[in-house]
Order: sequence, then structure tokens, then C-alpha cells
Amino acid sequence: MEEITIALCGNPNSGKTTVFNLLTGSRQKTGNWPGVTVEKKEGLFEKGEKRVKVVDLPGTYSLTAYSIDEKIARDFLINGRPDRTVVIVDSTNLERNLYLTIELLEMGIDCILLLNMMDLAEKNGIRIDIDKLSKALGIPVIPAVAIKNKGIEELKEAIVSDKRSTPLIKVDYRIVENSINKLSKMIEEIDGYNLPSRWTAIKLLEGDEQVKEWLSNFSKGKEVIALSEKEILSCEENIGEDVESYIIERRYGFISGLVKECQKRISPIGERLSISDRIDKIVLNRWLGIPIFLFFMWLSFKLVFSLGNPIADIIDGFFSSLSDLTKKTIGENWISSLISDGIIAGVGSVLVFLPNIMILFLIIGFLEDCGYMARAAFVMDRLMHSLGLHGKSFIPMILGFGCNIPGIMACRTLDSEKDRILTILINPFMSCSARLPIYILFAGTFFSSHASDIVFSMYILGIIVAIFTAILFKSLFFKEEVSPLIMELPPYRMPTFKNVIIQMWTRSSLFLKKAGTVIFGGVILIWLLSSMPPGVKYASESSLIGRFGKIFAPIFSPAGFGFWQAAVALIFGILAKEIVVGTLGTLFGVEEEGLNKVLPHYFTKLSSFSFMVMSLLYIPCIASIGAIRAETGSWKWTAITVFWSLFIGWTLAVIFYQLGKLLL
Amino acid sequence: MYRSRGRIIGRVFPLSFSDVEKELEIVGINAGKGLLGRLARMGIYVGTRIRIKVISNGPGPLIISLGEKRIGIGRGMSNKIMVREV
Ligand SMILES: Nc1nc2c(ncn2[C@@H]2O[C@H](COP(=O)(O)OP(=O)(O)O)[C@@H](O)[C@H]2O)c(=O)[nH]1
Repeated sequence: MEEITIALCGNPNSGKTTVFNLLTGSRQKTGNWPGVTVEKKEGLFEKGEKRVKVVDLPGTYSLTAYSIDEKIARDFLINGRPDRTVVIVDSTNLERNLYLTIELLEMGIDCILLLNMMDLAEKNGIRIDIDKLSKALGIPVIPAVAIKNKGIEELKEAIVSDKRSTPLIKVDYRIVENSINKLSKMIEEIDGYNLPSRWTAIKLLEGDEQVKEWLSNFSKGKEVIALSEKEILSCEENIGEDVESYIIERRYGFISGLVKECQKRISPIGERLSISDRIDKIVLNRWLGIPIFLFFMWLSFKLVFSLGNPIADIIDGFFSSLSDLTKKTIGENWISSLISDGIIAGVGSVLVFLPNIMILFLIIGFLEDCGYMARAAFVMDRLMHSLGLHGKSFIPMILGFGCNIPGIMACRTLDSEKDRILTILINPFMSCSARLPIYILFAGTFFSSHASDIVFSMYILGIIVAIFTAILFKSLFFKEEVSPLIMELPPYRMPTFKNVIIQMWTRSSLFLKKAGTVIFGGVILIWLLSSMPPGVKYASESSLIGRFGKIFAPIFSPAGFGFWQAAVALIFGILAKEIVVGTLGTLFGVEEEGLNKVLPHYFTKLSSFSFMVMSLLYIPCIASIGAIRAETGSWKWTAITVFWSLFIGWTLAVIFYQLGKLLL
Repeated sequence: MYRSRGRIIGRVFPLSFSDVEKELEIVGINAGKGLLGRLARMGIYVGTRIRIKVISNGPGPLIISLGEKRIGIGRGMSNKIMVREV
């Protein structure tokens, strides 16, 4: 069977996901694009004698190399050499949507144009002359209504057909045409450079850095770049403005002419939009905007944890009885310990997160699909901007209070790499629900009358450290201004169940794969340390971890808790903050309930507070570290968060303890 | 870089100062090269006709219509786009 590869591209919200799901059904797999953490989706279908591999490119408005998404899409079109490319556009808004198509055609890419959402276009009184459009562009044009599965068979046929098309369009760039011609003549003469010369020339005038990089591999290419810089200057003198903008305007001008030819508008502006505007007047209202946003956040939070926690408890229960069962059947020896304390506990600690994460992705998918997510960023932009963050940074921070992993993963909605990484790095300081038991134990034991104030102060301290970290990292690593907020707001609509579910599934399984390996490895490592040397009591003073605890204990003396049990509990806490309390119980040889009698022998009021500060801030749990690594795609940033959080946690714990000793 | 073109008739003011539902023409954008390109790609450049649809928290964040597209513009940006009433 002949196998061909096609690429799917289109603007965000044009129905690309829907079309992809229709084409490939369940035969999909997700991974990441090389080097970055943008999801890469591939699928398969068969038609006639051909097996077609469909690669879903990120949704973009254009094909510059400014954002990761656009770069990925362009790289794949150039280097991945798909046999055909399908470009999906929203036909209710041809004038704005055809921009991407024109860019593709200028690159000389053999496209099929899918005019999606024809039902809405019709409803809005738009008539499109398909034949005329197809002739004008020189490519097949197929009308479709993806949600009703209309036009998909025709699309499949066009994809497998052997007919090739040669794009005809040529945008007239008027004043800069001269420079384009000069440059493209030179480019044609470069041996071994095989991208279209006219396109290359235009991109040079637009100041495209990536094209310059490609050209600079050729000695003649360097001359071309030098010439292009001169041409830009002289053009700017001629037209009295930025050449890049001028070129883009000309492209829009071309589209505008085309649309006038091929499209008739019977009635003005659609109903969908006016409803959408009315909703926005409420949702973005000066007084109501933030309360509405907070309400949605509270609701999501509630749902994630009230629906997720019971299921998580069941999973947790299942794994602990499984590990008990193992110990009973095999007996107490190192094999049963490896299986139950190591492997089963490890797999369990990964899977325990899964219900919360799946529900979270379900909610995020829903909010994205209905159009609210874009608005939320907008509502919070002003506040976040003053902290050096982006409007879209707020949602991940809120989610972090539940669990940092979904918080870190939710940073994907930020487009600018720098804003995204900064938001990921401060997330662990949002005090997740796993840290709460520590506060409850210590505050309850030592500050009985003010316990809730002390717990609350931990949350506030976390936020303050996050803001401080943001400001510090901003001035150290991300000096550029926060990217200004300009975003297209899709009209509100009812999300489709299928899309939301599929999206949740692909995202969750990616989490399992990525974070899972790190968590699993970490668990095994700690198990090893706790059971070595052979014959030692699990996690006792003479085990490796106990000895480690003794080595590290003196470090914590200035913070008031310099004994090995505290150090071991903190080390175990890296595995999962949930187990700090349990570990203390094991080490002091009492049940968790007995701890409040034992703890006063070791801790004072003051050192209990500094221990809480330390627990709040020091090293994120292994699962979060795994998520940070996966989402930033960089060990450097992962290491920076780990060291910085350890440093700030220790420093603040010491400061609180020493200051307290002086003052009290 | 400040961009404007030709002689401008009428009063010019930042987008953040104008009212809802008036037809406006962009006469200048006060932004660096990269940002100008990014805006232009979204269809926002000198000469474009826009309308403010929703003012979120004036003066500042607002939603404009550009044909049938809706674009949210943050506070900082809306001060940099100069318009006149048509
Ligand atoms: N009315 C209508 N809605 C559609 C059509 N195709 C997709 N949609 C809806 O448009 C929204 C965005 O689609 P999606 O596939 O997620 O777009 P993507 O952002 O391009 O991946 C979803 O809510 C779909 O249900 C269509 O042909 N007609």
C-alpha cells in the first residue's frame, strides 16, 4: 500500500481538531515536537489504495518564525516535506482567515483549501463562489461542515487524488517589487539553496531571522542578506514606513480583492457575534469581571478536588491493600519490600494524581472550547502585568493551590516562551493541598488557639515568595517586557463533548508518560536508600537514608530543627509532600495521632514555625520536578527551581527562627 | 517607531480614550518593529477600520471588532494605537 504524509494547518478555532478527529478517528498518537513541549499529534486513515499519515500542525495565524507554534509549522512544511497540505479556514471570516493560505501558496506549497463552518457562513448570510475561488488560487477548494461530518469524504478523495496543483497567486508588492526582483535574481544563483527565490526575497524584506540563518550557510547568501538590509532602508525611505508592515498590508489588500470577487454578503453581521458581544459586556465588565472569574476558578477548584479526591482515595486504598497483600503472600523480606514499598507505592503515587489531573484537563478543555479561557486572561491582565507576569499566568497559579502539577501543565496556554517558563518556575510556591496536613499538625500542636491564622499565613507567605521570585527572575533572566496582550477572542459556543474528551485523554496520557518515569525513578531511589545496607530496618537511623539524615541534620540547626528525623522527613517529602507527616510518625515510633504528644519534646513553638516555612518552600515534590522538566524542556530551569527553592526555604526558615529568638 | 500616513483629518486620540460602537480609523501605532509586524499580521495596521465593542475597565483593556473578528487589547497596547473618528 502506498503511504503518503499530509499536514493539517489552519487558524486556531477554525475546526482543525474536529477535522483531525474525523479523518483519523481513534488512530492517533501524541508526542512532542522535537526539542519543545508543544503537542504533536499524528493519525492514520486509509482511502482507496493509499494509507495516509496525517500530521496536525499547531494552529497559527501566519507562518513567520516568531512563536514556537509558527516555527514548528513552518519547519515541518519545509523539512518534513509532506506530500500535500490541507489548510482549514473558518468561512465566516474569509477576509482574515485567508492570510495563512496566501502565505502557504507564496511558499509554493501544494494545498487543499477546506472551507469549514459553511453552516455558520450560510446562517450569517455569506455566499462563497467555490469555483471562482478555486480558479483564482489555483488549488482545490472544498466546502465543509465538520461538526456534521459534511465534506470530509470529499476531502479524503482530494487528498489521495494524484492530481497536483500549481498555486497561481502572485501578490503585487508595488513599491518593493523592485527590491524583491533584485534579491530573488541573486537568490536563484545560489547553488544548493532550493527554497522558492521570490518567497525568500519577500521574507528577507520582512526581516525573517530564520530565513537569514538558512541563507548564511552559503557564501553568496551572506551577500544577499547584506543587500536585503540595504534594500529595506531604501524602501523605508521611499514608502515612509516599516517595510514589514507594508508587505503584510499588501497581502491583506490582495485578500480583500479576492474576497470581493468570490464572496457575497446577503445580510450583515451574524447573530452569533452579537450574542457573544452581549456576554462579553457582562463577563468583562469592570465590576463583574473579576468576581465572575473568581467564581469560575472556585468552581473548577471545587470540582477538581471534590470529584477527584474520592477517586484518588480509592486508588490510594487499592495500592496500599495491594502492597499489604504482597507482604502477606511473599513474607517480610527484601523482595516483598521492593515490590510493595518500591514499585507498588511508586506506581500508586503516580496514579493517585490521575483523577485530579483528568478532571482538571476536562475543565480546562471545556473553558478553552467555549471561549472563556481567552477572556479570563484578559480580566487578570492588569494585575498580573504589574507583577511582571502575563494575564494568562493567573490561572496556573490558582490551580497550584490544589496541586502544582496541573498548575505547571496549565502554563501551556501562554504563548511567549519566556512568560511561560517564568510562570512555571514560580508555581511550586503556591502551597498545594499536600502541604496542608503538615501545617495542620504543627499549627494544631503548637499554636492551638491561633492555628488557622498560622495556616493561612503559610499560604500568604507562599504567594509573597512567588511574587518576589517572579520579580527577581524577571530582572535576572527575562529582561524583556512582558509581551503585550493582544489576542483574538473566538465567539462563545457550546463545546463538543467528543473534542473535550479526546483532548483530555491525549493530555493526561502525555502527563502519565512524562511525569511517570521521573516519579517512578525517584521512588525506587528512595526505597533503595531506605533499605540499604541489607538487613537494616526500613527507614531507620542506621539505614542509608537515616545516615543521610544525620549528615544533613546540622544544616537545619540554625533553623531550630537539627535532628535527623526532621531531615529524613524533609527528604521523604521530596517524594511527595503528603508523606512528611507519616514519615515523622514512623521515625518517632508513634502513630500519626500520637505525634502531638511527641513533637513538643523536639520542637519549640518557634522551630515548629520555621519547619512549616521550610516545608512550604523547599524543593518541589518529584512529580512537580518531573512536570517542570517536561514542560520547560530544560534541565537547567529544573535545577534552578530546585536550588532556588531550597535556598529560599532554608534562608527564610533560619531568618524566622533567629529573628524570633532575638525578639521573643 | 511611530507610524502614520498622509494628512489626517479630525481629532486624533489613543484608542483607550474612545467610545463604544464608533467607527474608528487607525492613524498611527506607537510600537517597535516586531510588534508592528505582529499587529499587522492580525490585521491591525494604519488605515484599518475598527470599532470598540466592549470596554472592560476603562481606560484600558477593551475588545475591538475587525470585520467579524473580535480582538482583545490590553491596557498598555490600547494607549499606543492612535485613532480618529470616521
Ligand atoms: N457550526 C460549526 N461549528 C464547528 C464546525 N467545525 C468545528 N466547529 C466547532 O468549532 C469549535 C472549534 O473547533 P476545534 O476543532 O476545536 O478548532 P481548532 O481550534 O481549530 O482545533 C468547536 O466547538 C467545534 O465544535 C462547523 O463546521 N460548523
